[in-house]
Amino acid sequence: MVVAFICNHCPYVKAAISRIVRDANDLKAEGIGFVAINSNDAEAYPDDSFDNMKLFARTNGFTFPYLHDEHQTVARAYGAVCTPDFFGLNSDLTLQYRGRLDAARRDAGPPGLRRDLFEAMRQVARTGDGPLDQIASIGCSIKWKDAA
Amino acid sequence: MGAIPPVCDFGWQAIDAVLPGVDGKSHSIFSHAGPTAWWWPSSATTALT
Repeated sequence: MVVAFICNHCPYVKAAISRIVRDANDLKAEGIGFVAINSNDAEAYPDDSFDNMKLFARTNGFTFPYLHDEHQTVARAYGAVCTPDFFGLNSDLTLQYRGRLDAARRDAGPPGLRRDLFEAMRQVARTGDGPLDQIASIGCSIKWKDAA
Repeated sequence: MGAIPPVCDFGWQAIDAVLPGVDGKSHSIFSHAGPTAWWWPSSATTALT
Protein backbone atom coordinates (compact mmCIF):
# COMPACT_ATOMS: atom_id res chain seq x y z
CA MET A 1 0.00 0.00 0.00
CA VAL A 2 0.94 3.65 -0.31
CA VAL A 3 0.71 6.15 2.54
CA ALA A 4 1.00 9.61 1.03
CA PHE A 5 1.48 12.75 3.04
CA ILE A 6 -0.08 15.59 1.11
CA CYS A 7 -1.91 18.82 1.83
CA ASN A 8 -4.22 21.24 0.06
CA HIS A 9 -2.12 24.33 -0.48
CA CYS A 10 1.36 23.18 -1.56
CA PRO A 11 2.15 24.01 -5.21
CA TYR A 12 3.96 20.69 -5.63
CA VAL A 13 0.86 18.79 -4.55
CA LYS A 14 -1.48 20.96 -6.59
CA ALA A 15 0.63 20.39 -9.69
CA ALA A 16 0.64 16.64 -9.19
CA ILE A 17 -2.77 15.92 -7.71
CA SER A 18 -4.44 14.72 -10.91
CA ARG A 19 -1.59 12.26 -11.46
CA ILE A 20 -1.67 11.19 -7.81
CA VAL A 21 -5.38 10.38 -8.13
CA ARG A 22 -4.79 8.59 -11.42
CA ASP A 23 -2.03 6.45 -9.96
CA ALA A 24 -4.01 5.73 -6.80
CA ASN A 25 -6.87 4.49 -8.96
CA ASP A 26 -4.59 2.35 -11.09
CA LEU A 27 -2.85 0.91 -8.02
CA LYS A 28 -6.21 0.09 -6.47
CA ALA A 29 -7.08 -1.83 -9.63
CA GLU A 30 -3.98 -3.93 -8.97
CA GLY A 31 -4.94 -4.60 -5.36
CA ILE A 32 -2.62 -2.00 -3.87
CA GLY A 33 -4.22 0.34 -1.34
CA PHE A 34 -3.68 4.07 -1.04
CA VAL A 35 -4.40 6.60 1.69
CA ALA A 36 -3.53 10.28 1.87
CA ILE A 37 -2.83 12.14 5.11
CA ASN A 38 -2.68 15.86 5.79
CA SER A 39 -0.60 16.69 8.85
CA ASN A 40 -0.05 20.39 8.34
CA ASP A 41 -0.77 22.95 11.02
CA ALA A 42 -4.13 24.31 9.91
CA GLU A 43 -4.05 27.19 12.36
CA ALA A 44 -1.02 28.67 10.67
CA TYR A 45 -2.13 27.47 7.22
CA PRO A 46 -5.94 27.72 7.03
CA ASP A 47 -5.94 26.37 3.48
CA ASP A 48 -5.06 23.03 5.06
CA SER A 49 -8.06 22.97 7.41
CA PHE A 50 -10.29 19.91 7.64
CA ASP A 51 -13.09 21.74 5.83
CA ASN A 52 -10.72 22.61 3.02
CA MET A 53 -9.56 18.99 2.92
CA LYS A 54 -13.16 18.01 2.18
CA LEU A 55 -13.30 20.55 -0.63
CA PHE A 56 -9.90 19.49 -2.01
CA ALA A 57 -10.89 15.83 -2.03
CA ARG A 58 -14.22 16.53 -3.69
CA THR A 59 -12.76 18.92 -6.27
CA ASN A 60 -10.05 16.48 -7.26
CA GLY A 61 -12.17 13.35 -7.26
CA PHE A 62 -10.42 11.45 -4.49
CA THR A 63 -11.37 7.78 -4.50
CA PHE A 64 -9.21 6.99 -1.45
CA PRO A 65 -9.37 8.10 2.19
CA TYR A 66 -8.06 11.57 2.91
CA LEU A 67 -7.20 11.61 6.60
CA HIS A 68 -6.54 14.42 9.04
CA ASP A 69 -3.51 14.06 11.30
CA GLU A 70 -4.44 17.01 13.45
CA HIS A 71 -1.92 16.29 16.19
CA GLN A 72 0.86 15.41 13.73
CA THR A 73 1.60 12.17 15.56
CA VAL A 74 1.43 10.06 12.42
CA ALA A 75 3.70 12.40 10.44
CA ARG A 76 6.22 12.29 13.28
CA ALA A 77 6.00 8.50 13.59
CA TYR A 78 6.62 8.09 9.87
CA GLY A 79 9.26 10.80 9.71
CA ALA A 80 7.37 12.59 6.97
CA VAL A 81 9.27 15.55 5.64
CA CYS A 82 7.31 17.19 2.89
CA THR A 83 4.19 17.16 0.76
CA PRO A 84 4.02 15.02 -1.22
CA ASP A 85 6.01 12.35 0.62
CA PHE A 86 5.20 8.77 -0.43
CA PHE A 87 5.71 5.66 1.74
CA GLY A 88 5.38 2.50 -0.33
CA LEU A 89 4.83 -0.59 1.86
CA ASN A 90 4.96 -4.26 0.95
CA SER A 91 2.58 -6.99 2.08
CA ASP A 92 4.33 -7.11 5.48
CA LEU A 93 3.79 -3.35 5.74
CA THR A 94 7.48 -2.59 5.75
CA LEU A 95 8.91 0.30 3.79
CA GLN A 96 10.10 -0.45 0.28
CA TYR A 97 9.68 2.84 -1.57
CA ARG A 98 10.32 6.42 -0.50
CA GLY A 99 10.61 8.03 -3.89
CA ARG A 100 8.89 10.48 -6.16
CA LEU A 101 5.64 10.20 -8.05
CA ASP A 102 7.41 11.01 -11.30
CA ALA A 103 9.95 13.43 -12.72
CA ALA A 104 7.64 16.44 -12.77
CA ARG A 105 8.08 18.90 -9.96
CA ARG A 106 6.04 22.08 -9.78
CA ASP A 107 5.06 21.65 -13.40
CA ALA A 108 2.58 19.23 -14.88
CA GLY A 109 5.38 17.49 -16.80
CA PRO A 110 5.24 16.21 -20.34
CA PRO A 111 2.79 13.50 -21.38
CA GLY A 112 4.09 9.98 -21.08
CA LEU A 113 6.27 10.70 -18.07
CA ARG A 114 7.51 7.52 -16.39
CA ARG A 115 5.30 6.72 -13.41
CA ASP A 116 7.99 6.03 -10.83
CA LEU A 117 5.71 5.41 -7.84
CA PHE A 118 3.28 3.29 -9.83
CA GLU A 119 5.99 1.13 -11.37
CA ALA A 120 7.80 0.76 -8.04
CA MET A 121 4.62 -0.37 -6.31
CA ARG A 122 3.88 -2.89 -9.02
CA GLN A 123 7.34 -4.31 -8.37
CA VAL A 124 6.73 -4.30 -4.62
CA ALA A 125 3.44 -6.16 -5.07
CA ARG A 126 5.09 -8.69 -7.35
CA THR A 127 8.34 -9.31 -5.46
CA GLY A 128 7.95 -7.80 -1.99
CA ASP A 129 10.94 -5.58 -2.60
CA GLY A 130 11.17 -2.03 -3.87
CA PRO A 131 13.66 -0.84 -6.47
CA LEU A 132 17.12 -0.10 -5.14
CA ASP A 133 17.44 3.01 -7.25
CA GLN A 134 14.94 5.59 -6.09
CA ILE A 135 14.76 9.29 -6.72
CA ALA A 136 13.44 11.26 -3.78
CA SER A 137 10.25 13.24 -3.90
CA ILE A 138 10.41 16.98 -3.43
CA GLY A 139 7.79 19.26 -1.98
CA CYS A 140 6.79 21.83 0.60
CA SER A 141 7.99 21.11 4.11
CA ILE A 142 5.47 19.74 6.58
CA LYS A 143 4.07 22.70 8.51
CA TRP A 144 4.81 21.67 12.08
CA LYS A 145 3.08 23.19 15.03
CA ASP A 146 5.36 25.16 17.28
CA ALA A 147 6.69 23.05 20.11
CA ALA A 148 4.92 24.13 23.26
CA MET B 1 13.72 25.37 -2.78
CA GLY B 2 11.63 22.39 -1.78
CA ALA B 3 12.12 19.90 1.02
CA ILE B 4 13.45 16.43 0.15
CA PRO B 5 12.86 13.23 2.17
CA PRO B 6 15.75 10.96 3.12
CA VAL B 7 16.58 7.81 1.18
CA CYS B 8 14.36 4.79 1.66
CA ASP B 9 14.88 3.01 4.97
CA PHE B 10 14.18 -0.44 3.54
CA GLY B 11 12.41 -2.71 6.01
CA TRP B 12 11.19 -0.01 8.36
CA GLN B 13 8.00 -1.33 9.95
CA ALA B 14 5.17 1.04 9.26
CA ILE B 15 2.81 2.09 12.02
CA ASP B 16 -0.95 1.95 12.00
CA ALA B 17 -3.16 4.71 13.31
CA VAL B 18 -6.81 5.66 13.25
CA LEU B 19 -7.55 9.08 11.86
CA PRO B 20 -10.67 10.99 10.83
CA GLY B 21 -11.39 11.11 7.14
CA VAL B 22 -13.13 13.71 5.02
CA ASP B 23 -16.04 11.27 4.67
CA GLY B 24 -16.83 11.76 8.36
CA LYS B 25 -15.63 8.28 9.33
CA SER B 26 -12.58 7.11 11.26
CA HIS B 27 -10.09 5.07 9.27
CA SER B 28 -7.33 2.71 10.24
CA ILE B 29 -4.50 3.32 7.79
CA PHE B 30 -3.77 -0.37 7.41
CA SER B 31 -7.40 -1.26 6.80
CA HIS B 32 -6.85 0.27 3.37
CA ALA B 33 -3.75 -1.73 2.58
CA GLY B 34 -5.54 -3.68 -0.11
CA PRO B 35 -5.74 -7.40 -0.77
CA THR B 36 -2.02 -7.67 -1.53
CA ALA B 37 -1.13 -6.92 2.10
CA TRP B 38 -1.11 -9.45 4.92
CA TRP B 39 -2.83 -7.37 7.52
CA TRP B 40 -5.74 -7.85 9.81
CA PRO B 41 -6.72 -5.90 12.91
CA SER B 42 -5.15 -8.33 15.36
CA SER B 43 -1.77 -8.36 13.62
CA ALA B 44 1.33 -7.65 15.62
CA THR B 45 2.10 -4.41 13.85
CA THR B 46 2.58 -1.32 15.97
CA ALA B 47 -0.27 1.12 16.23
CA LEU B 48 -0.46 4.63 17.56
CA THR B 49 -3.20 5.14 20.12
